[in-house]
Amino acid sequence: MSEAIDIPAVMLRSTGLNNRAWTLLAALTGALVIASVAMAAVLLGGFGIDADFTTRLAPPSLSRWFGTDQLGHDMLARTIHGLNVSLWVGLIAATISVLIATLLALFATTCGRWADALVSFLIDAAMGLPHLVLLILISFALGGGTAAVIIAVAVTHWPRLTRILRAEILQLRHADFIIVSRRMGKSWAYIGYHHFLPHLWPQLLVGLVLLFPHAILHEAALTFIGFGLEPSKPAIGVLLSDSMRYLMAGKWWLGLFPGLCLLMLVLCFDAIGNGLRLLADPRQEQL
Amino acid sequence: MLEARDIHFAYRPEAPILSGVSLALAPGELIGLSGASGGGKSTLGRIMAGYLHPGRGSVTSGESMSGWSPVQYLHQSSIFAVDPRWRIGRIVEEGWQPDEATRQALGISRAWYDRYPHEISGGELQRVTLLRALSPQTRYLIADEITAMLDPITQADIWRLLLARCEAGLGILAISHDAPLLARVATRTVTMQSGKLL
Amino acid sequence: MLLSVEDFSVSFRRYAGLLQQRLVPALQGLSFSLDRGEVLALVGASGAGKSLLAHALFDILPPNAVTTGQLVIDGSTLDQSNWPDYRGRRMGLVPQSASHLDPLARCGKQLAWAARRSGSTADPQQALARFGLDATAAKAFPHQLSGGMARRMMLAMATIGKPDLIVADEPTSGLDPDNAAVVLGHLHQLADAQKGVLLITHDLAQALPFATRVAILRDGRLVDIEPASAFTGAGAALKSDYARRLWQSMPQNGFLTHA
Repeated sequence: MSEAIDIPAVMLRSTGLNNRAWTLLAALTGALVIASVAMAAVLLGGFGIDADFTTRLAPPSLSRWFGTDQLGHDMLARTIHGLNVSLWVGLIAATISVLIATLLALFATTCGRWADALVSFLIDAAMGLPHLVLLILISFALGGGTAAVIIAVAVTHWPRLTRILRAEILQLRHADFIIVSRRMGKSWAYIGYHHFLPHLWPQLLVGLVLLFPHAILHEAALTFIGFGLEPSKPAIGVLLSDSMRYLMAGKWWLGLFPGLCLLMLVLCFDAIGNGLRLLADPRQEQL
Repeated sequence: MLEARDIHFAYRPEAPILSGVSLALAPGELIGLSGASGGGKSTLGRIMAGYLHPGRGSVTSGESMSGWSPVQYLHQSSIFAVDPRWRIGRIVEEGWQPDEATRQALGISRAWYDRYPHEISGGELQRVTLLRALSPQTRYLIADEITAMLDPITQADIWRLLLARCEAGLGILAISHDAPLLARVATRTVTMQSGKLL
Repeated sequence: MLLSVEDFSVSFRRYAGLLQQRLVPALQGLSFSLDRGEVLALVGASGAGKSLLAHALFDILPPNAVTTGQLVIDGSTLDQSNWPDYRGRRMGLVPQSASHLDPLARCGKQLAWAARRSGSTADPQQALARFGLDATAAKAFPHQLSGGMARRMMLAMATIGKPDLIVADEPTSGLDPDNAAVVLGHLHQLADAQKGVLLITHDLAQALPFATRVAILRDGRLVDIEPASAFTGAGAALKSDYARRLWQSMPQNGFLTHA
């Protein structure tokens, strides 16, 4: 018998950071930024929420980086509070979405042909409707407010992930290594835990993280057009819609900074998603 | 006796893949199954191993179907037969604890055990899946072109081991287009053409 | 010398663990040459790295591949500047399977594309006829061709620019012996017409009747180059031990008795 030959490998002298290191560094930075936003919101307490009429509509300066609004709120503090609200709404809505997606995917793949047809129909129907219109309808029907926004976002964001999970499960179920496992006398419970789960949890985790930006942006959009969070809340959507009235008067900082920060938050989640994808399946991408 | 009776199979009714195939494999017998590609050899192998259900007809192996199946199937592309997220050691030992003698006879190194399937070569992985299938509970082995992509030396090593197992009572269905190989290993050879045994 | 491969190696950058990269060698220190009028069979088991040489010759290795050494055609070293002048014009590739054809275009059209890419003025009809294909095959979509016809179609495409070097990567995998012999016969004829043919295959027995010389690859290294005529009898004329063991282990020969 030919000897087993072990491939000798030469360690590369690392010349700066490789692609993977950059991806993980970006993910870590994203996570840090998000964590500090959440922490800062707690530390700020009432600052940025209580009005201070002595400093109204002050432009950005060294002491007030983002300027102040018509009620004298510090815009930096207010933006951080807004991002924090977005984070919570996003977290709850995205988690509910992932749960719905998981349950529907399991239902479709384990309860027979009619269940699969039903779920596929639901996915097609939900994806065929204009997203924002559906959001507005649901939020409006539920009477607006935080709970309504969370429900509206949660029940409109599951289709894509459901489709991915369903395809993944179907593909796995017909994979030869699953049949081999069955032929070796393994129970479906064993196969579910040892073969399916390791393939599915990365999808779930990445799906959860990548749902965040959608949830946050849609929450902001709903709130911006007035069907979302209460105007009293320091939400980014509220800040942006308030800023509209003052933008024409040259108070540019009211819209610019909250907008940019929202974009930054979304990019942070994107970076985390990419990092998680890499950690979940290091075989991919050898570059 | 592993017996396939009057097997019919088609993905689309207008294009039958198998039409009325019967084949019986006795313990200790090595049947060679040859024929042009696309003739239905692999489909018959997968049906006899329980990977596919026949549209009509039946497969019986005379043993209960719970637990380890007495019929195991091996395919040329072994990469699909292993979980890409499992390491080799776990793959080998998923169903049973292979004995050291067989492991060494197949030239499987312990050093592979903490690698992933894509980190060893196709020939090495083929031997891993063979070791996994050769439990004492396996009565029949369907070997679908398992040495087609290997070098002749490794091929001979594998068949030496399989012939010894065959002598000890393992029934083997060797699917191959390699006529000289079948002539050397098979007790008898059957040929398949357009979904029928000639 | 038509093709000289000089101390050529291919390695892959792979991650060991999460962040650390290492070079995993795939082909190591390959040196051989190929002359006009001969079929050189490069034989090795799957995973021996033989397809990598074909990919390297046409600069289609994956991006994490690192190469060292030189590939020289007619005295000029292949590099980024002259690949476009050689690929498809002075060297043609017959890929591994019909999946390399565009499934949505008729074969005749794809042949015309190949001709235009290579700047060839050859008559497509004639190119088809040379490989035993007719106008029906030109009108067909790739999936309508049988395996053997698809392979001959790819031969016609690879040779329409009248290249000096033809590289065939496993041109017979999935073909029954009769069709395989037809394809290999065509390759042999190309060599008779003073082309150089590099035949990459895992099937030594099948390649022997059509090859001039046989290069044996094992675990990424060239073990030996033997004249095809030396593979006869007990293999006494073979220079290397490994080649002799390969020969004797074939089912046609000693098989189980030699190891």
